[in-house]
This record gives sequence, structure tokens and C-alpha cells, in this order.
Amino acid sequence: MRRGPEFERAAVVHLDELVRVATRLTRSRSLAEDLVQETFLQAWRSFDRYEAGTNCRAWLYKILFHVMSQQRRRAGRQPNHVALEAAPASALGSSDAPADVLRTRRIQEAFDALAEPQRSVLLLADVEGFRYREIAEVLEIPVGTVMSRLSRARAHMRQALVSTRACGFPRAVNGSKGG
Amino acid sequence: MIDPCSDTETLDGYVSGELDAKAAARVASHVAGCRRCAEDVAARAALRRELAEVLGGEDVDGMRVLNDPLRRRVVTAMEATDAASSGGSWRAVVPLAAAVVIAAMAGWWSARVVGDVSSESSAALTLVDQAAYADALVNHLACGVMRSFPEGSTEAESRKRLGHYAAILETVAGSSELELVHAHVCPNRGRRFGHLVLRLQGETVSVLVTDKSEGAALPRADRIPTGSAIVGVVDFPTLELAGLETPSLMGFIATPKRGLESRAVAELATELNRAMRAIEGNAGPTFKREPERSAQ
Repeated sequence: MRRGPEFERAAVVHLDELVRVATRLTRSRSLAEDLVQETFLQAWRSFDRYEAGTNCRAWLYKILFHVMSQQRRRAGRQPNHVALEAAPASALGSSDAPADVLRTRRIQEAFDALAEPQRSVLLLADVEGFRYREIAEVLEIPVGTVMSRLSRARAHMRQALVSTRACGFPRAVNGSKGG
Repeated sequence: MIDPCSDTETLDGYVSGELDAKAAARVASHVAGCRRCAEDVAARAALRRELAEVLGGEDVDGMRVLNDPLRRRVVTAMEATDAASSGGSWRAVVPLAAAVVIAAMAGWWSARVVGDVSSESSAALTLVDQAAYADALVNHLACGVMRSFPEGSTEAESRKRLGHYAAILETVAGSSELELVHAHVCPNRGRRFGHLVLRLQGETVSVLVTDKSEGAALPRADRIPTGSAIVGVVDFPTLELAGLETPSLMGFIATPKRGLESRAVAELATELNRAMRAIEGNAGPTFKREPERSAQ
């Protein structure tokens, strides 16, 4: 039985990434761990149906979002799981200058303030680099919805950040666009 | 023709590389002659880059180390799922589950299975659901041994979390030796276990109870003992898993071998026996597990 090594090669390699995404979405490291564990168990159980060579990463995300909505339904919605433990590694490790740290924090706050559907789309598109078509499949929504959510999410982010823009970036637009 | 100046989705698509060649060329030529859109596109691209850096950038090695316990839990549960569903004889399941444990906990368990089911209990053991043993073992390791819980649950909270299995709290109620670390229900492959994570004489011990009806297919029910009894002990190099059963429940006590007095474990088994009988008394045919199916 070669399922195990194959699964580890194709799927378990994405574990770190899934934890990161789940932590961003749930804002809780421990919730994220539970989600990811369940995601991998479900993936493992249906691995026979996974076609080798197809996009395993997108397939795992699809399961992750499915598990997440299952759990949310079961828990009767508990979106306010804000945990200090969710402090991201990036905030701890990547920046030295106070201005950068401040900027990082503002970005995280602006991101956390987005509605969950927008957070998901923004994370998948701009951070994880999924195509619109893939996001539509992962979230099981039409491509048009992906585009409109993404557009709104980016607009919110820009609005939230425009007043805090530090030096070093090209000056952003003056005034916002409709949409 | 769409005017990019008033179409944020088109500009977003342009920045994301989602437009086809023709549409992208059209936007590019517009942007070249429109200062406002040029600035807009630059700002969108900058935001995108920044989001990827801040929300996606991380200490990759640190993350990997941080996630190692989870990775082990996943691999353990994954392999045990196979062990449990592979059927076959109990004797086949035990070494497989043990091998999984050894693989997952490399360096912790270093030996092969050394023990075996005693001859007098092996007949009864063939009657219990072997998969439940593997699941109980996984739960003990995955959420008893490898996981830490926040402190300070009240008894009411524990009861609420355990629901149907709340009576197993009685196993610790009268004991001065047992300390309750956490009480919860663990789902495992669609089966639910009431799980008490306990500290006993400085060691982590698990008490687990599950319903036979929860996915368990018990062969030849007429031969299942009607009273509660310890029907088998699975012997691993460093831990033991004792199984008890009543007509509709299976109970397990997972203990490390080292350091524990057998008297204390026997007392725990007696209390669990009593608690299972109490649950039997409460358990009606209306008990249902939550539906829990695969995403696919």
C-alpha cells in the first residue's frame, strides 16, 4: 500500500500553509489546528478519489473551507474567537523598524475587520496566489462573485490603509473609485 | 467598450493577471495614457504585494517546527484510520496500530509490540469492535498526550461538553489521586468518544467511552458479555489500553506503563465500569450522533 507516502508527498506538504490560512481566518491557532487536522483526515479518507497530478493544494483548500463551514454551522456561528495566540509569526519575526511593525499591525487589523467572505477571497487571491477560477471552485461560488468580493475587499483594505501609508510606497490614488 | 477608469473589477483583474491578452492590452494602453488609472494600478499592485508579505510572509522554519506536533497528530490519525478500517484480525490490528504509533512518535517509542492479549481474554476481545480500540488509542495520543489544554474548566462546562457521556466525570469525582485536565468529546472517523484527560501520579491517563452503535459493527452480539468486564488489555511498549464493555458501550483506559500503581488503575477501571452502567441506564434509543461526513 503506497497511499501513505503518496499522500504525504502530495498533501501533507501543504500543512504549514493550511495552518497559516486557517489561523488567519479563524483568528485562533487552536481552532485552526483542529480544522486542519480534520481537513487532512477527510482528505485521507477520500484520497482514493483524488486524481494524481491534479491540483492537490486546491483540493485541500476546498475541504478546509467545507470543514470550516460545517463546524461553523454546528457551533451555531462563533465568529468572535479572537485569540492572542493568533499573533502571526510575521509580526514576530520579519520586521525590525517600528514603522514597519506599525504598518504590519494596521494591515492585520484592516484584514481582520473584513467580513469573512471577503477575507477568504482576499487571502486566497492576494496571499496564496489562487486564480479566480480556482477560488470559485474552492469556495463553491461563481467567478463573478469572486471578482466582486475581491474588489470590495481590496477597496476596504485601501480605504483602511490609505491614511496610514508610510513612506516608501508610490503615493496611492486620491479619492476612491466607485464599485 | 469598458472604461477602466470606472471599472474596478477590470483593474483588479489586470493587476491579478486575470484578463485575457486582448483585454489586458486594452487596459495597458489606457493606463499608459491615463495618469489616474496608472496611479490606481500601481497602488493596487503595491497593496497586493504588501498583503502577500504581511499576511503570507512568515518564518517558514519556525512555522514548520511549531506545526510538528500537529503533523504527527495528523499522520498518527491518518494511519490509524487505515489500521482501523483494514479489518482483519485483532492480532493484525494491534501491531499495525503500534507501528503507527512508533512511526509517528519516532524516538519516543522505540521497540516493537512486546505484549499480547492474554489467552483468557482474547476470545472476548474478538467480539469487540477493533476499530474502536485503534480510535481510542489515537484519541489518547492525539489529544491526551500531544495536546495541551487551557486550564480552568468548571464541572458544569465539562458536563456540558461531554453531553451524553457526562457520567464518566464520576470516575474522578471521588478520587484524591486523579486530576482532571480536560473533558470533551472527540470525534474520530464519525465515531464520538467521551474523553477525560487525567493526571494520575504525574502521568497522563485517558478515560474514553463510546457507543457501540456509533459506527461499530459488533459481530455476534449474542456472545457479548451482558455485564461489564475488562475484556482485554492491549500492551504497547510504553502504554496499555484496557477495554471494558457493557451491552451498548465500550470504555477504554489508556495508561503509561511506567510508574503507575496497578491498584490505582484498577480503581479507575472499577469507577469507569460504574459510570458506564450509569450511562447505560440513561441511554435511550433516541441517542444520535451528529452527522459527520466527508467533504467529497
